Amino acid sequence: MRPHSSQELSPQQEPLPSLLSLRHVSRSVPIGEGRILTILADINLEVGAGEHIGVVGRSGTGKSTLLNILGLLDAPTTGEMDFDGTPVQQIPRSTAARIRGRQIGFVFQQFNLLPGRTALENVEAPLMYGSGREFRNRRQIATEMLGRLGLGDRLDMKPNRLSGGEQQRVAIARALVRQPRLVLADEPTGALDVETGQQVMGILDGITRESGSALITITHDLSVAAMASRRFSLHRGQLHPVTADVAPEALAALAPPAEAVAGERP
Amino acid sequence: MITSFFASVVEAWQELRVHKVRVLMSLIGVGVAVCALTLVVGFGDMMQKGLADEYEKQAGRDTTYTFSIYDPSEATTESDAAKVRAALDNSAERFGISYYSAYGQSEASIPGPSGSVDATLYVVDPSFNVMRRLEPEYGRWFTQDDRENMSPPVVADTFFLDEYGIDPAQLPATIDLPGQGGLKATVIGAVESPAYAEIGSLYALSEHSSRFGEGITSPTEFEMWFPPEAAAELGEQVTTDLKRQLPDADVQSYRSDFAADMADSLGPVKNVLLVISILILFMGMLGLLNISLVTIQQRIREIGIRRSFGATSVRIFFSVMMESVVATTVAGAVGVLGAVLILKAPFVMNVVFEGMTTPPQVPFIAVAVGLLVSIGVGALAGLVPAIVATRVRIIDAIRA
Repeated sequence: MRPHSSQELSPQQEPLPSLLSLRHVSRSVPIGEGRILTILADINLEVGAGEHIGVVGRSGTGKSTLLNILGLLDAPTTGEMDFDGTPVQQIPRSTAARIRGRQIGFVFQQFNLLPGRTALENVEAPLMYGSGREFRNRRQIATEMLGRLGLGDRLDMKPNRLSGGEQQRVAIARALVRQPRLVLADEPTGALDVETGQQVMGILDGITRESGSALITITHDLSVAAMASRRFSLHRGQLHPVTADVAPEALAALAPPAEAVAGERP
Repeated sequence: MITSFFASVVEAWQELRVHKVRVLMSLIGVGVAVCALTLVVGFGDMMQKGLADEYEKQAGRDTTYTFSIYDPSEATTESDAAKVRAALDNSAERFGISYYSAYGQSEASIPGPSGSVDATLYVVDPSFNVMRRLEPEYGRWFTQDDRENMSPPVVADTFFLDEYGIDPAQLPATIDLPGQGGLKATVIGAVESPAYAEIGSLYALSEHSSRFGEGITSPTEFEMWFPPEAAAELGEQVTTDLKRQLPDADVQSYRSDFAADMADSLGPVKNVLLVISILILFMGMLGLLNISLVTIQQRIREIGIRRSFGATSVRIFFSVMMESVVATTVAGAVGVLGAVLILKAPFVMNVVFEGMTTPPQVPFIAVAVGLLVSIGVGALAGLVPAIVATRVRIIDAIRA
C-alpha cells in the first residue's frame, strides 16, 4: 500500500502489481440543516497484490468507513478508486456486488456467521453466488477450506456450539473460500481474548500469504497491525504511514488535522 | 442464470429448514386456506359432474330436444309409425344428426314365476343408451339387428330382475310377455337401478312395443341429441323439416334435457363457498405476509452478510421471494393432498354423493387451482418482504 502523496516503497520492497488504488478519496455524510460531516479526507492509497496492510486507529476515526469503501460496500463521495485497474468509484451496485463476490472476502469483528447453519453451510454460502462449477462442488470446496483451517472435525457444528476462535476461523474460511484477491478484516480479534486473537491472526496472516491474497486488517490493536508488512494510522479521517520505531498515535498527532468538522454543503 | 435459480432454491430451502418453526406456524394458515379452496372447487366440480351425470340419465344429454309427433285426428297405426320413422330418418340424415331415439313410457305388468311384476316400460331405439348414459352391467345393450328379432329383446334394470327372480349374472334369460299366449321376451342385458327406484324398469325397442300390452303403442315422442352450439337452430330446422314431410301431423319440439338448470341450481351455492374460501385464503396470506415482514426485519443482518458475499439486489429479491413461494407451494401441496383425501374419504362419498349411481372423481382442475393459488399466494406474500430486503443498506445491515 502506497499513499502516493507522501509514502514511497522502501528499497527492500519489490514493487507489486497494483490491486487497489485510491486517489484523493473522501467520504462525507449530511447531518442535517445543510451541514455535512467529513469522515474520510484525501485518502491516497495503493495496495499491491498479495500485500498485507495494517490500519490502526481509535474508535470513530473512520476505520469501518474506509473498509466499506475498500470492499465496495460503500462509495466514496469524491476521489477516484481502481480495483485491478478498473475504476470502481461510480460503478452500478450490481457490478460492485459481482466484484465483491468474486474478488473480496470479509472477516468481521463479530464473525457474522449465518445463524442456524452449520460451519460447512456457512462456508458454502458464498459459493451459492459463484459459478456453476463452484455451486455444484460447494460442499467439497468448503470442506477442504475448513480442513485447511483445522476445522475438519467441526463441519456440522452450528455457530452456537463453537468457541469464539473457532467461529472466527469459520468466518476466515468463508472469506477465503472463493479465493479472493483481497481480504478485508475489520477488527478480526476484537471479540477474542488476547491469546486466541493472536492465534486467529496468525492463521489469517498465514493462509492469505499461502493463497496469495492481499490482506488489509483494520484494528485498534497495535500488535495485530504489527503483523502486517506495512502499517498505517487513521486519525480524524486521514491516513498516515507508520514507520518503524514510531508509535501511530505519535505519528497521527503530528499530522495536520483532518476536516472532520461540519461545513457547508458544496 | 440456471445456477442462480437453483442456488436460490437451495438457499430458500435452507432458510425454511433453519426457521422451520416460524415457517410451520405461518404456513398452517396457508395450508388450511388452500385445502378449503381446493375442497370448494373440487366439491363443486364433483357435485356438478355427479348432478350432470344424473340429469343426463334422467332427461338426456346437453342438448337433447324432444319431438312430439302425432296425428290429432286418429290413433297412431303401424303405418303412421312407419311414416314418422321414415321422416325422422330423412331429417337425421339431412342434418347430420347421429343420435336420436324413440321415447315412450308406459306401465307394464309382466307375468313372473311368483305373480305379476310391475315395471316401467321404456320404448326406445338402440341409440338410447348413449343418449342417457346407460351402461349395461351385465349382458349387452340393443343393436340394430335386434330390431328384426322375433323374440323381443329387452334390457332390464337390476331392481326388476331382482323382483322377477333372475340372477343378472345368468343373462340372457327369458321372461313371459303379457297376454300373448306364451310369447317370451329375452332379457339381453341389465343396467343398474337408480337408488331412488321404487319399481323396476324395462327397455324395449320401439318395433316391439305393442307386444308388451294392449294399450302400449308406438311412441309419439322422439329425442334428438344436438351439438349444444347449434341446438336451437337445429331444433327449429328439424321441426320445420318434419312438418314438411308429415303435413297431417302435429309436430312440436322443445328442449328436454336438464343441463340448462344446472347453473341455476348449483351456481349460487358454489359462489358463496368460493367467496368464503377466498376470504380464508386472504387471511392466510395476510398472516404469512405479517410474519414474513417481521422476519425480514430480524434477518437484516443476515441479508447484509449475504450482500458482502456478492449477492446482488436482484438475487436477494429472488431469494426472499423464492422462500415464500417454496414454502407456500409445500403448504399448498399438503393442503391439496388433505383436500383430496377428504373428498375421497368413504364417509364423504356416502354422505355427500349419496344417491348418485357413479360417484364422481376428484377433478384435476381442483388440484391445479389449489397448487397454482398456493404459488400465487407465496409470490404475493413474498413481494413486500422481498422489496424491503433489497432496500436494506449493506453497511447498516451488517452492523444491525
